[in-house]
Amino acid sequence: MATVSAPLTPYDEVRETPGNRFPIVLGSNTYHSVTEKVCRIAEDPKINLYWLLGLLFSMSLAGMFVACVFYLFVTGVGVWGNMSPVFWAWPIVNFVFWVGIGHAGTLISAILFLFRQNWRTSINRAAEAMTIFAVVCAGIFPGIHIGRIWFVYFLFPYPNTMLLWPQFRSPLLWDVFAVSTYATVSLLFWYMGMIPDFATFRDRAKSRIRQVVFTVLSLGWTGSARGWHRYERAYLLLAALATPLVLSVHTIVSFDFAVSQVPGWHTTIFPPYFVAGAIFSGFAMVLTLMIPVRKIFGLEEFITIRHLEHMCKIIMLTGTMVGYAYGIEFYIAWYGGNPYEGFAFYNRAFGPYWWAYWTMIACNVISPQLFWFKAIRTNPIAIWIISIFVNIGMWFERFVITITSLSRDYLPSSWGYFSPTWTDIMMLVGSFGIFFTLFLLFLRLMPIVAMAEIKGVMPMPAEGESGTHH
Amino acid sequence: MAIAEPDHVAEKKPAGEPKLVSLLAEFAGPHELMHAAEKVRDTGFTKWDCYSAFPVHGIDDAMGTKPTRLPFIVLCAALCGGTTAIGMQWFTNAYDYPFMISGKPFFSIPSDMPVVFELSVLFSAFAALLGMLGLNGLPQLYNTKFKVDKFRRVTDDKFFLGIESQDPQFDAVKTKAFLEGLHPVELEECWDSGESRAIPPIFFKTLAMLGLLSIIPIVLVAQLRALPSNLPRLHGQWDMDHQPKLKTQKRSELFADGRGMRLPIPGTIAVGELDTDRALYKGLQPASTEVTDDMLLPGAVDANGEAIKNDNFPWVTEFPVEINAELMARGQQRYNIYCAPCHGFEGDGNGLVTQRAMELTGVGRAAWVKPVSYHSDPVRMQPVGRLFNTISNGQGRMPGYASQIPEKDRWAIVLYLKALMKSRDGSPDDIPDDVKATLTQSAP
Repeated sequence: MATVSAPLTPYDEVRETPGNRFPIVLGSNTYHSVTEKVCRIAEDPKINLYWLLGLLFSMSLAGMFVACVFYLFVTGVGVWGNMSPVFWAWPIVNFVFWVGIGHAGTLISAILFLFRQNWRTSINRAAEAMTIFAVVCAGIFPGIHIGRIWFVYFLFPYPNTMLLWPQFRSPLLWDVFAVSTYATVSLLFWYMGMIPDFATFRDRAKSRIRQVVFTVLSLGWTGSARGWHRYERAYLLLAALATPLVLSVHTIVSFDFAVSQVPGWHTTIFPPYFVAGAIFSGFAMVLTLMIPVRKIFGLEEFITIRHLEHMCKIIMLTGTMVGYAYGIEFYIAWYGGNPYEGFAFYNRAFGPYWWAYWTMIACNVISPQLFWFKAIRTNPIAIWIISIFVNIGMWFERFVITITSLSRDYLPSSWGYFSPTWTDIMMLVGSFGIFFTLFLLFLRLMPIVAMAEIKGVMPMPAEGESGTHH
Repeated sequence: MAIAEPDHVAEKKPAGEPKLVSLLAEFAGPHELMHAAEKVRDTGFTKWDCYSAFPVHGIDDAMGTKPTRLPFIVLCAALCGGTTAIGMQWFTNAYDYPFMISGKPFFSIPSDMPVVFELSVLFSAFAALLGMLGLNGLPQLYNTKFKVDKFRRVTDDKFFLGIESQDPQFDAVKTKAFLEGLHPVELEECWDSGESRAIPPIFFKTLAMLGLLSIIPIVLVAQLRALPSNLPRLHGQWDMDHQPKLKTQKRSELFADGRGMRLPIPGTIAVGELDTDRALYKGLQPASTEVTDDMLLPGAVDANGEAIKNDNFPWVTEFPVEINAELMARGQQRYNIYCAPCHGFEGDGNGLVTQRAMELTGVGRAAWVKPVSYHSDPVRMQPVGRLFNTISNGQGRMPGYASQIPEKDRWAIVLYLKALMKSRDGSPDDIPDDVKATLTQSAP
């Protein structure tokens, strides 16, 4: 019996000394103990009280969302605050917000995988799940924003009696392809990553139902080396495909704005700025979710302070990029000499929506700068609070972009002030209910940490030592 | 054979001969597994594999695994996806239904790129997953190895090496001895009991039944779409088809007179409807004009020999428009479209519609009144204003044509009517002298 690479000196969770690298998995874990600790969460017949309360609360919010959607269908889009000239309004703000959050999962899984950032293995599964649930929320909003949801198939090219085809030169159609491809590929990536862990569940199953379900889900995975060879290659290929895909999706979402000619939208900085914002918000959401999860389910050994610190650094970087983009937009508006553009940006900061703009600046630009301090970026509670600020800030960013530009269009006689209705607000809150319901169910039913990957990055037991307890 | 049958095989009733499927050797850790794999590789076995909970680094070399073909499959899928996207965008927007948007070209590579990229990624992602599963022979839900209890720890923390009995070099005794020589922690035999593993027929019956049932809604929808129906449409949302607005000729309690349709405020004149010229628009002389006898129908008598008098309106007797050959031609053309179907091309009141309607009236299937002939006195004597009024507002069963025929065209028709009447009622004196001369000359 041996522990995996028992540290010579106790690790300081805060400082990292070169040559004595902080391990990815803490504690004296063996392969078997990793399996036990992760599977226990899904197999434990005792229901965690925090989890149950969280599920009941988020399910009630999700139910409210469903009721709001029903109300919308029966009554029409007049239940929203969308009014000339602000036709995009909250549904599109929410769409961009959720799609942005949905970028962190695949980023962690794919880009960090390509960069050989092994610390990703502890958080990638949950982040991928979060991605998919965020994309589910994102997909709902443009779907119901079309007003007549039963014609949603008009978005796709199919032979029809009207002899019409979609207009492929429009970024809105590119968006349909980008978001649906992203949702599908994320799902495949997530599922493929879980196949070996489903096999672990299957082989540990005590009840017949679990056995059948996980036999089907694991597709008969045996863990054979030839199988692993192809699996790893497929995973690498999917990562290589998903990496440009992540970048393309928010680029295309930004095209929805940038290809139009509305002042404040028609800028070439949008694609990189949107992508940075998406990563920023996605990592913030991963932190918002994972900090309580690691505490409640006792995963501190796998999701260590070091993991949180790495994510804080990415948030700090992308937050700074977003702040730079806010600044350069003003510079270009001035340097470009276009009076409409100039007005649009002046109006953002000092117009009727000044409160939204400065909320955004405070949350997105100022709050992540606190991560320069090591004491803050290694303190889970501080990180959690800042991550929530970032989430709020990123929602306001989309609000500022969408609403301020639309509410002041070219015709001053049409100018208006957008105010959300109670349905708007309940739908935003309700979409969090959908998101958290799915995420909480995932926590309880699926392997929330990629066991096979964790075992792969744990130091192998030295020859002669058994890697397992007997 | 030195190998005894495992107990569980003997207990169950085997449908066939129990068969040794593979020998499974458990090793203490990844390093031991790799050393063993190297020896198995060097011995020349082909159907064998190592099993672990995670990909062991270096195991591919130790086993001599060749690189997989998967990247080529994925490349083909990517090319296929890209081509599909280009083809789809060309076909839909440039070939099958080209339509101009903001002056953009029908087919341009830059604007096609986003969809090309997305579909390439989509196709290759499916190829990567499905190709990996296919090459690995998955899904294969049943595996004899899962019957070996120890083997089920592979996905947890154990390391196994298995040699299949199908390997040409396999020999139950020798191979077992060979594996024992590799110092495994334990050596397991994996037996296929020979029991039938066929899926019970009830599974397929249920599947077929569900398949059939699932067609029913699709068929019902297809039927509803294909067949005409008197039932009102089904509405998902009523706000466009059933709007809370007043439609034509509906009552409204909002207004004192109960009309849904509102009249214009007195004195309102719509654009283009300032019809001050009574002669042109109504065929009447100025309101101050007194009705005189020459405006009546001179000489016309009814069946009782009483003189027929014109109605009490000052109809114009002169055309308020300029008369020329062009107007006459226009009048003929309009007459043939609007009037001839009932009145006939010569104005005798025997157009095709009238002929057919009179036949039906004869057998009691219609109630048609034959239009009066233009060549009868009461019509012939009418002043042009009166004829214009009849065309505009109708007479008897004839509806008014004011909404269909503009004023100038109505006057053109009146002019043509006058010509038709003259064609039966003319005299040589009506012919201009110069024309008369040519007529006498050309007569043979």
